[in-house]
Amino acid sequence: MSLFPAIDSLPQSLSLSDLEPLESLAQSAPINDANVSRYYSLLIYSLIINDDIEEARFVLKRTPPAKRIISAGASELTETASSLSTARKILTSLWTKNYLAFFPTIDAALKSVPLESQEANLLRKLVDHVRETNYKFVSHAFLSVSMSDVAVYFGLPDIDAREFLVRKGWNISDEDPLIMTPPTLARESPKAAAQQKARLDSLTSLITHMQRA
Amino acid sequence: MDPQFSLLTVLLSIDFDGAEEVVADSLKDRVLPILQANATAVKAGSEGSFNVNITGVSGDSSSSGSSSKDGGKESSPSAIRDVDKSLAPRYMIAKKDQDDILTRTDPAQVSLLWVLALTAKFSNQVADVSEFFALVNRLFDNISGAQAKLVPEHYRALLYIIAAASDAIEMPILSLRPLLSAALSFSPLHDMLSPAHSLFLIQALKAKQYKLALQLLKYDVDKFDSAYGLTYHDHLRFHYYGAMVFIGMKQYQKAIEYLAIVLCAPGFPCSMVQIEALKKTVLLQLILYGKHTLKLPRMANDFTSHSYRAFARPYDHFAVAFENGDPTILKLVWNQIKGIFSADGNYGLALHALTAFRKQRIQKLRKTFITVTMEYIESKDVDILENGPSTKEFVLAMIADGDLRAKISQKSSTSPITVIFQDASITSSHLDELEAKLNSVRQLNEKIAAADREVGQSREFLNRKLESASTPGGFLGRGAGLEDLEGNDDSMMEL
Repeated sequence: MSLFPAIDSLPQSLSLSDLEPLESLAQSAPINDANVSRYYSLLIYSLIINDDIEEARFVLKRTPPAKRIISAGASELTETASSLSTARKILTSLWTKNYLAFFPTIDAALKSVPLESQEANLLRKLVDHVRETNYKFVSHAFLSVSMSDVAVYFGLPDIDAREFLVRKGWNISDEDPLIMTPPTLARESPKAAAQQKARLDSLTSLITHMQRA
Repeated sequence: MDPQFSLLTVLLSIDFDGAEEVVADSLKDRVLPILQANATAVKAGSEGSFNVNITGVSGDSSSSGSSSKDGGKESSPSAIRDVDKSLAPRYMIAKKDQDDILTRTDPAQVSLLWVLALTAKFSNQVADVSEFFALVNRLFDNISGAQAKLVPEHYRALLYIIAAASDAIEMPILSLRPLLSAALSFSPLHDMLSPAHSLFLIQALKAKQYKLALQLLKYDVDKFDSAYGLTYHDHLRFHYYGAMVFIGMKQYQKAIEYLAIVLCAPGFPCSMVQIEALKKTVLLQLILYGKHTLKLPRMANDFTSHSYRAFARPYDHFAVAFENGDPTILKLVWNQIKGIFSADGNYGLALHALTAFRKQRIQKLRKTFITVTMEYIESKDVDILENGPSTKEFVLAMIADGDLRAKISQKSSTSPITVIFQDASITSSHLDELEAKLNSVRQLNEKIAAADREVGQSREFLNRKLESASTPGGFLGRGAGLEDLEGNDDSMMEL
């Protein structure tokens, strides 16, 4: 079987399509290969960025190093598994929506890798992705929210979170400066609404016809 | 492929023991026409050609087998005959020819010989795993399904060798590519169950490659041919493992459909696979609907129903406590039977059921309130295991996951947090999903109509109808529940 390639020999900017085909090689590489641990951590980050956190979870379960080291509950981390251990912490915090743990873990991970490494590139993309996803969530989930509650979703201090949201069109509440309200969502155009209604009507007729048949 | 060694120059000679004449003759009849149809010239003994000797072997595992041309004895491969004695391969390709086939021919043109050669070479031991998987991947990426089906015993044996070889080195991922290719190449519409289907799924489950498994499960399998050594168990296992994949991917509705197929399978007595399917069905119904029905599908037989009640009683208790809605009782029952869930391998699913219980209590508030304070929700919220997130975090997670349509509002930092329930809005993605479902229903209707016509024209049905027509009382009505053939009246049914 082909040898697993050195991660440093791969392109700086890695995508999921670059990483996925290498998994069968990774599975047959020696367990203590540090490359393999790095590979799996990069694959996990890529999957999360592509909104496939379920698959990221399965990847973690099937990694050969994870099976031997992490699943045994070992508290000591070997150097070869440390990158995978970091990926595990990041994945767990996202899975449990524990953003208080997520952002500090990412910060620590960014400080521990070279600035221009593949890990750093993906970690920065991951942070942006999570912030953007959370922004969409808070815009839909809240009619009004305290700054301290909403800042958690962005991993920012309250003041920075306020500036971030104001730039996005949020307003500070007149009643309480600690409360923020999202911008009003643009209404659907009458034409789009009419098209949707027409489509719904035709599907309803089709279902009625099928029921009679 | 080496241009010198094409199908044109492969000669085939059959050597067989007298007892195997009939079998070997049929192979000769099946194989030679394929080879000759592609040959424009066959030169015996010419440079660049090689002979393939196929020896008939005894199917009896205890015998030493028949003698081959050069006087040696061949016996049925031990690794395979243990799998299924009735399907032990009965042909062996001589060792010296195996490498010739595997290195000098194109598997797309001589898939049959490749299946025979690989089975012969690796049946007892897979010494070089890399070489083995390189060869099987090459075969199954290019296989001619029609040729491989001519030697069903060898084909099936080869699939088992693939699974065993990957299991021996604890790398089930290696077997996935060839097994998936084998399953998909078995029939043009991928709707026929093959020996590879359940093997692939179980390897995918071992390798935790659920997403890859969906590439096979996206095709509905509704054809079955026992000529390939398939049995009732393959049918049960395929749908049971398929349900487990869907459970892993949290596609619970699809999982229930597959488990229903397992539960409906006829059989006496019922299989343990069906018992396990029932247990999972109970938990899935609780997760999706908040209630369960131990009412089996109409097609399930009565004995099966009694067996289910006996074996799945603890699940019944859990479901009753769940539906009752009293968290105290549910906690009591949970503490009594959580060991059973764990022993059955359903502990994870049971935990999901407890989470669903918590969610459903909050969702029920929508029936009574439009706006409610978080404090009130907290008073109604129950975390059975007492180790989950806080009520506020749980409600926010429900909104994020789409389990609760609501918005959170807090007017000031001193005022209470309120939850405002929202009505569902229909989006274009809902309409896309509805259109896709209607299309699949239309296709399913066409398939059912075609199957109905096929059954109605089958000899078995026609004979039965004739018998019933000749006895007083006959069929209950025209077609006995089946649609009449289009434009035909009863007189056309007489042979």
